Amino acid sequence: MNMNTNIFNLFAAFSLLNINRNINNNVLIYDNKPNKEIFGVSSIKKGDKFYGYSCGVLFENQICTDIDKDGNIYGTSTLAIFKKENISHRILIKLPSRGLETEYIQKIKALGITEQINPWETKIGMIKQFVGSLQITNQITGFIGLLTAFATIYIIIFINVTNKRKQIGILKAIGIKKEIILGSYIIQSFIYGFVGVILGNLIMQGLLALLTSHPLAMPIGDVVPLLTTTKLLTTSLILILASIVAGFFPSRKASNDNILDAIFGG
Amino acid sequence: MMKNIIEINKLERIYSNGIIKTYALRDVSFNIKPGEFVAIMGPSGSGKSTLLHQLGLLDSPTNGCIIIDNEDVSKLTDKERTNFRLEKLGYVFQSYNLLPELNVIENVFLTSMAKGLSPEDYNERAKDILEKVGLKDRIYYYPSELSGGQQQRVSIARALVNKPKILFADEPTANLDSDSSQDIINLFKKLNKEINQTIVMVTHEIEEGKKADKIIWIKDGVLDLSKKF
Repeated sequence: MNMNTNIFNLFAAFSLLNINRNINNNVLIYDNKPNKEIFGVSSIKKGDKFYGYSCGVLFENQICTDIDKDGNIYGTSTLAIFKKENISHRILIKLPSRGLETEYIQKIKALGITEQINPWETKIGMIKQFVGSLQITNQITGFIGLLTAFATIYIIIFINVTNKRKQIGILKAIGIKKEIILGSYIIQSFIYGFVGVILGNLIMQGLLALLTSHPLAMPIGDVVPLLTTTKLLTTSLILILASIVAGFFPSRKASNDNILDAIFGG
Repeated sequence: MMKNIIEINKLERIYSNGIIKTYALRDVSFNIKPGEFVAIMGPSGSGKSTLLHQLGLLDSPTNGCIIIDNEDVSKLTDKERTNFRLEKLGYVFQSYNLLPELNVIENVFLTSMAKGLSPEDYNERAKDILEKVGLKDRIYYYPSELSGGQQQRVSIARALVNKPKILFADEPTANLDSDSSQDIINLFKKLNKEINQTIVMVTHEIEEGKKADKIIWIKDGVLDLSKKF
């Protein structure tokens, strides 16, 4: 809700909707200065003075005696808190569950509040952009990783078939079908890809465990990577497929090589 | 009258480099009977290896006709030639070219395996032929653990494991000392006598050629009929 109004009056209105039951979960209070938003109550430190509000009553000069790890403030029994003045440029309201936004906006308007009221998507737009940027970065690094894997396996197989050119020529001369030679190098490529995927997944699981226990602190909150089974299977399959394709081209060239050129060099 | 296992008629192999044509083989015709041990001899660059490559289906002639075991092999497709080599021909090269990652018996049964034989069959065949070439006690050795002569025996066993109609050998003793060379030629002679194996061998050594039933002399890409042994 964007506004510049007496927030006590708003709280009085909200109390009718029964949405300010809990300081930390239902009502987040913001400073009155734009660009200095206080997320939750994190800007209030032990010993700070603040205003409290409950059931239409303003409690001044509340002193924060302690804040526990969950953000609960001790030193007040009020249901809403804010720092300084009876003015705020924005108030965030957490609803009991998703999907109630329109209903609550209508209810708030029905209380006679004329300020601009926006659903959470308006605020979350920035987060969406942030997540979108992360996803693009993720896709770019994923694509580069895939290209690297492709190039590495291509080079490995190319070097293998080049080093064994004469041997491949001899095998063809004694009657080994080129499909067998091609197949053997494709199996080799598959094994490289498969082992790479297994090792990569082990490292990924380790990183996931680490970042889950120690999330990355971001302005929007703690960020924990998420790896779904579908994503895991898709990327693993793509990597294995890329390995096979990477091995196919040099192997095919080697298996199609002229026998005498392969044996005697040409 | 015994039919020929190999019939060559007016064989030509021409290498073209722009407008310049080089005749590696010209108007070569001869026959080889089943069970013959034939040496192809001549000076360096005379075309004897080129001739062996045509006979062994490793290369295609520019003109002429090659009939092996009553089949005109000049008309075979690439795939058919590969299959023909696997089924009917065996090769021994100057360098042994065994797969270093495989042991002796695995190197030998490789072509039988590719042919689709059962493990029992190809193991039995490989053991039989390794016994014939005198390597019965080395079947689980790796190529790096064998002497040059022994490695060449393994490659001979590999060439013979599928019971080919013809065994081709391209200077099989060139990398060996004189004792090992003698052993290999004696082994060829023994296989020729004992299992009636047709052998076509390219060699520089006249003493080795003399062990053969007949020598085909070649010079400047044409048969040299002036020489006899």
